[in-house]
Amino acid sequence: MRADNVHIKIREHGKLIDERSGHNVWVERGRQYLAEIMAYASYGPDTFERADRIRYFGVGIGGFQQQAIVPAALDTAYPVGSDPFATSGKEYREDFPYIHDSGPPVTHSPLTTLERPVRITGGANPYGTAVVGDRWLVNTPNFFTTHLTLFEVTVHAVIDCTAGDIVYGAFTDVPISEAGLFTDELAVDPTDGTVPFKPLMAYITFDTITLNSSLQLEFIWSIQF
Amino acid sequence: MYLPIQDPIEVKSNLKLMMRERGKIVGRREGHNIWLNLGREYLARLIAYQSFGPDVFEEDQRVRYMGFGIGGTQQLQPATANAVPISPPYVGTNNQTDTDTTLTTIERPVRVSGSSSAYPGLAGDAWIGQIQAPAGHPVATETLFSRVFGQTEISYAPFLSVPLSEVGLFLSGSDPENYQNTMIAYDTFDTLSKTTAFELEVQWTIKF
Repeated sequence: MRADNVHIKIREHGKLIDERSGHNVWVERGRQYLAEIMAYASYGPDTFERADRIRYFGVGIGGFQQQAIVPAALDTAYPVGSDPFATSGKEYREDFPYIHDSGPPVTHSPLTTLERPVRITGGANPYGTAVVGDRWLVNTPNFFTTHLTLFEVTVHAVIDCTAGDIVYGAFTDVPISEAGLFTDELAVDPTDGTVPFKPLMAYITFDTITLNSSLQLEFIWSIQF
Repeated sequence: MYLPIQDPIEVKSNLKLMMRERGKIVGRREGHNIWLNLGREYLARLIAYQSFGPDVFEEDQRVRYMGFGIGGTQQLQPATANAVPISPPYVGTNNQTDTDTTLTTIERPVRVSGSSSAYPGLAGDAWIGQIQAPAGHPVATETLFSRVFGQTEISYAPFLSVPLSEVGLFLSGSDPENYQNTMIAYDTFDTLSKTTAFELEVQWTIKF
């Protein structure tokens, strides 16, 4: 049995009121990332194949474990079917696309983005008309890494709804149910709010946590080798 | 059908060694090597920042070298490995297995080029060889590190026949003149005798 590697602590006014645990999937493009980052592209001058590192964190209201009725304001701002697989909004999971019987085995996850990413801060436009100032990813100082053991790197990401993260304007209750890890590769430009669907390396869906303005969340996400 | 995705992230690897004489393969070894604890630590550091603003990498080495030895439990020619001219100077034991993830160095390293002095050798000796760049990617989630050791590499006077039986993978911070660099992956294999008649091609594939 696999140990959970993602833990979520939910605090209200500083008091721990709930916790979630789950297991992520390191997606196909994340495996490609690992294969490339350890290699040289050339010598003399020495150049690496890539130099991006795990740097950002994002959440969404998609994923197989979404159990809530999504409020209308969120449905408008974060419309279903906008993801690369044009899903119904509750389909992403570790073994997506889930196939019960015959067919080619799925050994690596084809997921590339969150299913329904939500803004950390910004406006309320639908995905297609998101604006530059929208911020979709958790960045420093609310993002940092540690090593709980020598063989793992642990990402810590804080979502502080009391400071206006995610819960703002008409978004009074936001039922998040998925999260992802991102590197600082060029395609993940945190300053470009017009691109909500940013390419991720690892993905998890979890039982719904309905955010309101009194909650603070801490994600503790270990990548183990 | 769904096949479970392994986590912790499993690093698999395949190793192919091919000995060629005038282009024709005259010896071959294939097997699965081990990704050592040092390799696991390396990956955990490699993908992380140490600090932000300015962002500083925790680890910035890449895979750059391969090195051989005559140690390891699969040394099938101990009489040769423990006799002149091989030993000394390449004196040592044959205890290392390719199931022990705590290994850190080649057990009985041999030079790629240089002198015939006993360990630790002389300045100018090369104990590890640089792999080719760019690395290959047979599929997107795999990396192929390769290197061809020439006829007079490893096997040179007085070492005209070297019974190779172990190989390691090394990072860019390694010092080629140091015979005891720490490695991140290791394999011991049934002896391949390297002579000046042969080239030795190594294809080391890492799979995620």
